[in-house]
Amino acid sequence: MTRTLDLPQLETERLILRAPGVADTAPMLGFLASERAEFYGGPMNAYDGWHKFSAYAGQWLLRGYGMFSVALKTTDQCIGMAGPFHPDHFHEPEMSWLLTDAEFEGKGYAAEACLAVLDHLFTSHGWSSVVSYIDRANTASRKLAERLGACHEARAEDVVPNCDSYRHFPAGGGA
Amino acid sequence: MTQLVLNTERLTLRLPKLEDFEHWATFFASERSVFERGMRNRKDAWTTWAADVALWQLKGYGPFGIDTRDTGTYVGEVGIYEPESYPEPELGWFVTPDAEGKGYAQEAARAVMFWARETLGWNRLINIIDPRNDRSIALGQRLGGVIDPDADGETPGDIVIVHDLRGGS
Repeated sequence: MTRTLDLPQLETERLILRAPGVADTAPMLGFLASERAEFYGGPMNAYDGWHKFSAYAGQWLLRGYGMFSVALKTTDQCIGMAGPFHPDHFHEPEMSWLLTDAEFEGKGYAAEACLAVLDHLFTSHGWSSVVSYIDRANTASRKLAERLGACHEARAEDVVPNCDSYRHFPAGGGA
Repeated sequence: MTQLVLNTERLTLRLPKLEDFEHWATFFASERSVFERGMRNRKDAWTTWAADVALWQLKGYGPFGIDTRDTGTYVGEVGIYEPESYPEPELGWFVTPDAEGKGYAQEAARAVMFWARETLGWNRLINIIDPRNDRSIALGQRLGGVIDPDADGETPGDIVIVHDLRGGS
């Protein structure tokens, strides 16, 4: 099938980060239908899940950047997504991440993917910083943001309810 | 990005772009969207529209944004739509209020049907239309489509119009 977009692909030690594709639909709809999606507007039915995942994908064409699908190098299996989410109602792109299943947690995959994406945003796109909005009840994501070196910034109620903003800066360029 | 542009007598069809969204936000906030998946707020309008646009990346086809060739004014969107709830790819159209009644949707739809035949190699496209949407049903038939009373739409009662692309358009 004709590719109409020329999209970047990132590689880490264990992961391939690529633009979302049809093969990622099933694992992402499974994630969005599960309790794991509580901080992503879920759990939701297949209709809403399809729209949410597809909107992640469609953002690439509209803005030129978006969330990457994160796949294991060994199996090419999609285990999550990571990258700047930027719907209309966000004033700026938001560095977001997720793992589709609990079996992928605790292995450092999210950190590995996020570090690669952040480096890409700062180096290839030249961004000077990027925000993450994290629900105050989402302990795992808050810990990861801190581990990535993000600075706790402020409450972000005006953008996403119950969320605080954390800001990532290029290595060595911290605030 | 690959250049993907179709030209007709009066129109240019190209990939959707961010600025098009304002027209969709306005559309989904208005009564005009009642037959087209219903009214929705700006946040949900983004999700709906960006998901339609994603078809280009996910499947290599999708909706075209349409500008007039003489002034570059955005007049709507015509192309392929395939949300999760559709039985097969659909030929759909949307025209801004100011651009209605000029035959733009028909002109663009003919170009998309030809493109689907020539470039994608498709033999058929359908329209899925709310039974109350007389204008769209009439356009589907004007384009040579035939109502198939047995075909599945998105929800029970939908009118499904089938276009045989093999005859040329």
